[in-house]
Amino acid sequence: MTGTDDDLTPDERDALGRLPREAAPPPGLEDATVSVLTAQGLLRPASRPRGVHPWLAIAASLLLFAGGLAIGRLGGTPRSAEDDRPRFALFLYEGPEYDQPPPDGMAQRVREYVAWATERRANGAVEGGEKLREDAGLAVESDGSSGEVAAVPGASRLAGYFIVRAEDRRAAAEIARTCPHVRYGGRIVIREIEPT
Amino acid sequence: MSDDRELAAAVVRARDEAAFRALYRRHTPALYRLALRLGGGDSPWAEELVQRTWIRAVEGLGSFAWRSSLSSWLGGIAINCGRELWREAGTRRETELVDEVVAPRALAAEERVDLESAIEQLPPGYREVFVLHDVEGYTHEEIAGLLGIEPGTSKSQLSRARQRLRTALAPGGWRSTRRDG
Repeated sequence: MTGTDDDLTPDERDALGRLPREAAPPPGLEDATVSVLTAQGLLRPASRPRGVHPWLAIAASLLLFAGGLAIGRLGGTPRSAEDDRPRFALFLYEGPEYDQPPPDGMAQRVREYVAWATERRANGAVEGGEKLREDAGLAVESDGSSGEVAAVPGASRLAGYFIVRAEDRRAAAEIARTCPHVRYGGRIVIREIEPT
Repeated sequence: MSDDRELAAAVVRARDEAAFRALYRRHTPALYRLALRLGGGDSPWAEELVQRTWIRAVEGLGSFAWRSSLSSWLGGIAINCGRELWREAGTRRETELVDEVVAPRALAAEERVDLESAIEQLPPGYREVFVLHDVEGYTHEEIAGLLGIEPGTSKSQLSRARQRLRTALAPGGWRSTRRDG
């Protein structure tokens, strides 16, 4: 712009020079990004505590890989090996009431779930989780036959699960109530895991 | 502390997550600030842009020739990804790059804003060129290449952006107020 009649004045240059050059990125964004990169095979999954499958970033898959499944990993501090609290499975169901994000809102939804899980992993509450694919399940019957599980219109669908540590079922419910899944109209069923 | 090349090499050769996280933590604060400015302060859009930028960067890291700094390269990717996001959202960038028919007006005292806020309130086409040229230091030729416009268009957009800011921020002039996020 040199030589034009609207060159910046020294004060304007000074003001521009004082603009902040950085901003703190939101928590959860790093883990969500790592999750997607891992799912794409661009990063190698880091070691996982006690063989627990990491949680996954899900639906970024819908944005990034048509029909693919993006499996990610939670960051944060792994829980202590001395943690003897009971373990609970939080089964996440999506029914007609579940507020599905629009395609361009999927990544943001993913980050909310990842941020929630990451925050609770840091204090040892969440150990891991998985997102289930949205295809039909396969049922194996006692007679050895098998077939696809027919989707029931309007019925809830098991969409994924988290594994958490909590003092008791009530405490596990308190954790579940804070999950974004509930806020978006999903239902969470809690079952205690039998120690083995 | 490893330099960018060492970390990038670890990401490319070994798909090393720790190396990626180191790169992410080093460069994302600047990338996120750029994304916020390009997006007019829209945090979800900026987050989406940062994530997409990193994915695209890791995909192309093996062919990055290091003729520029990694941060400059990331900035270029962010700008292109930002335009993709606008297109996907159906934003009509072409129309935003033409002259505005509404003349800028001086703000009343109660409306007066700092420079950062005034930049956010620029029309997207003006804001993009202003941020790239006056804040990030790109030349008009570079901007033209990044945005797919003529250098003359970049110059005229910048001129109008500056004029609009001067009008919006008068009479107090340009004041930088540090803001988070």
